[in-house]
Order: sequence, then structure tokens, then C-alpha cells
Amino acid sequence: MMEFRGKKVVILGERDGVPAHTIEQAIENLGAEVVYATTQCFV
Amino acid sequence: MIHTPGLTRYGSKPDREIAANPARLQELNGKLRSYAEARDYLPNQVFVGQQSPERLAEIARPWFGHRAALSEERKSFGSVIDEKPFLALVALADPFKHVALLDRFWEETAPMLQQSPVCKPLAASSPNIVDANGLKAKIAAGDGLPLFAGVDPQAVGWIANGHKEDGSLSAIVLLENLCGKVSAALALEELFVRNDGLKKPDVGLVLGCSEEAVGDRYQRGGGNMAKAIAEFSGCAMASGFDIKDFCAAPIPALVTAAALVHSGVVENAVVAGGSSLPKLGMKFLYHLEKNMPVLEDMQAAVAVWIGQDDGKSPIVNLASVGRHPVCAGASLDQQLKSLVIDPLDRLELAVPLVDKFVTELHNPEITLPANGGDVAERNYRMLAAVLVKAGKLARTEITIFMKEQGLPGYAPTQGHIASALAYVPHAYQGLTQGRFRRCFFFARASLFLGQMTQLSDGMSVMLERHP
Repeated sequence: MMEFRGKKVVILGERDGVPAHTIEQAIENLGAEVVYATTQCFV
Repeated sequence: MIHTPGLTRYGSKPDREIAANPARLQELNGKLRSYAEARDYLPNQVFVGQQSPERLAEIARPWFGHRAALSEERKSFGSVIDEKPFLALVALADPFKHVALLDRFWEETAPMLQQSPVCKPLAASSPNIVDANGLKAKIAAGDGLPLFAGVDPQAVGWIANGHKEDGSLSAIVLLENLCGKVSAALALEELFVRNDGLKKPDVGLVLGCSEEAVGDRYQRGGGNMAKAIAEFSGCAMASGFDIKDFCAAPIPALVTAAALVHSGVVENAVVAGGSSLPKLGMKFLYHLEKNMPVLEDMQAAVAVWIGQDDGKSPIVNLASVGRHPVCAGASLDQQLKSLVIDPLDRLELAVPLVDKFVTELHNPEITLPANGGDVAERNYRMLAAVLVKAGKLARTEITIFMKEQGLPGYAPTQGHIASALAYVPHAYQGLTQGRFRRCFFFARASLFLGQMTQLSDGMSVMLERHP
């Protein structure tokens, strides 16, 4: 299991998969700092 | 559908890429299709109803190398319009005369308008005309954009900025809005030409569900495109308004129209989804890289008439409507629970009783080369997984579910048009002349792109065979 505490994280979410905001909430609870998060829509 | 190779340069992506590297224009023009190639392209034939969607499974990709023979069995519900008459209509649809057409171009194009049953009713006026010297002077002055037909480097017209300081009225925005207006009006004309039961004075309401934002600097997106479409179409008794929900907008528009007709507010409503100019050439760099035609040269529009119960037409089942509440969560499985599982539960309807689940039907031949995947296939796979999780489908039934109750993608990447709306005419045929009993439509909206919320949205509704 990866240790996220103290890490800076860039999140790329995908509309048809898991959006960035959902990943962001999970990562923040693990003590990481989200420096950039975006959800892409490819159509 | 309208084949618009000359306007493809004004799609958002090509416009930015050409500004950064002018040599891109020649590369783009070198890979644009002829009108005949676009008209005979199998997914486009499916879009206008000349072929069934199932035909796509019988023909191996690439489809762009295959000229679709016209089917004798199916009846079209649309047509593929050439760019020249479309540009002429753009000029005629411009009440403020920002568009001017080259005199020779208008002389060549005016007869084409009169020969087309869907263009002719919209061509009752005359455009703003300019001669070759005048056009050259406008281009030199630069307060607008030149208009081109196909890859011919000689401009055939001009669109001026609507205001010197207002970006909401810039030539590129006005051109986007006029394309949406004209394409939606053409879709309405297809309705009038093919339905004796609907006359223009009978239309009480037009609901717009396109992707443009008509307005000025003090009210960007103020609207009301629907009213402008109604006026241009000659629906003198109609009022209108626009419904915005990114690509999902057609579903709330259909639901709103059905609710207003059902409640007696109006007798006849038309939902009109006009085309999207910015999405032309959205993935053209990938298509160039793969040495394939730039397939995003098509603008598309759909219009749906919702009237009172005539004893034979399909029913919009308002009890089936699925919504995506704020509390539902943003991931795809959570969206699908709100949009599909909850309505099925409410209706106590088993999955086999729905003939088609209809969602985003983007043409995979456009998206796969751009690493966007097969959108339709991916959505059906996820829907099947959610149905399995809900106990409504066996894991062993996933493949057959996707094949029999799903659909292949065939629509151009015109957002809201591909998001289920394109299939409404096919569903209508299946629910009236075919074997369908129920078609369940659902669409999703990427609200987060507007940066006002991290949420998505969506809506769903069932169309049913008349009992």
C-alpha cells in the first residue's frame, strides 16, 4: 500500500470513470496535498 | 446533417491550432471529405435513417473507406445538406446583416435552395450581397471572418463582428449561433415535410436544447435561441425558451415539452437541438496523425414533435423520469443508479422488457483514434455492470445485453446530439412500425466543465409503444 501522507498529488479524473473530485476526497483523507485536480470529458 | 468542411477551420480546436501554426490549415484542408463521401459515409446514413444502426455491426471499420449503398428497406427521416446552401441560409437567418455573401456565390446557390424541400421554405428573403472588390476590402479591414465553401481558398462571404468591444457578439460567436439556428430550423423543416399532421401555425412552443450561448456582454447565454428558430422557421404562433444542461439538455427538454403538453399548457411543442460549430474538428490532429479523413466535418441537428395523444404515436412516460439529485454522487455507477436503476425499480420493470437502452452514441471511428475509446461500448459495459450489481442482470448475460439492448455509436461528436437525441427518430420507427415496446433514453452532463460545481447531471425518460 502506497503512503500518501506528506505527498503532493496531481489528479486526472475521467467523466466515464471516477471524477477527480471523488479521488480528491479520498486522497485528502490519506494526508496528501492535492496540488491539481481536473476531470476530463473527451467528447 | 450538414457537411461543412469550409467551416471546420472555425471549430474551437482547429481555430486555436491554426492561429498557433498557420500551416495546420493546409493539413486540415488536405484531409477534408467531399460532399459525396460525407453523404455516403455509413454512420451518416444511419443518422438520417437510411440505414439501421445494426448495419454498423455488419461492416468492418474503417467505415470511411466504404460507400454505403442506399437501403431500399428503410425510410429516411433526415437528409445530408451541402455546405453551399447552408452558408446561404446562414446569411438569410442573420437579421442584423452581419453576414454578406459574394454576389457570384449567391447566384450559384440560390437555385440550390429552391430545389431542396427543406431549404426552400427558409429561403424567402434575400441576403446581404457584396461584390469581389467589396469582399476583398472587408477581408483586408479584418473586422470579422471570411467564409469559405469547402477547401476553395477563395472566400465566398464574410461575417462581421457584431460589436467592436463585445466578445459575446464577436464574429466567431455569431457564426456559432447562426449555425445552430439554421441547422435547428432545417431539422424542423424535416418534421414539417415528413409529417402531414403538423402545420407551422400549430406549434405552440419550441424548446431549444443546443449548446450555444446567445447573449451580450451583460448577459452571456441570455438566450432565447428557441424563439429565434421558431421565427426563422415561420412558426408564428410559437413562443420558446432554451434548456441548458450541457450534453444532457435534450432529455430535460423532451420531459419539459411532454409535461407542458400533458398538462394542457400547449397542444404541440417541438424540441430543437441545433448543431455545434465549436466541436467541428475537435480531434482533427489525431485524425491527421493517423492519416485518415477529418471526420468531424459534420454539423447535426434533431427536432422532435411532441403533441397530444393521437392513438398511435409513442408515449413519453413521465412516470419513468430519472433524475440525478445533488446527493447522488458523481461517479458513473452512482449516476447510472439514479438514471436507470431507480426508474426501473419505480416502474417495477424488468430489464428484458426494455428493447433499447439509449445513451451516448458517439461514432467510435472519431473517438478511438484520439484515444477517447468507444464511448457507447464503454457506457453499455458500465451500465451492464451496474445492472448486475443491482441484481437485474446475470453476469453471464452482459455480452448479449450489450449486443441486443445496447446500440453502436454512429453520431458525430456534436455533444447533445450524440447524447441519445440522435436515436429518437429510430426509436419512433421501432415503436410504431417495428417490434419495439420500450426505449429508455438517458444522458449525462459534465457540469464540472463550467467550473461552478464539481458535479455532473443527467436525466432519463422512457418512450413507449402506444397501447
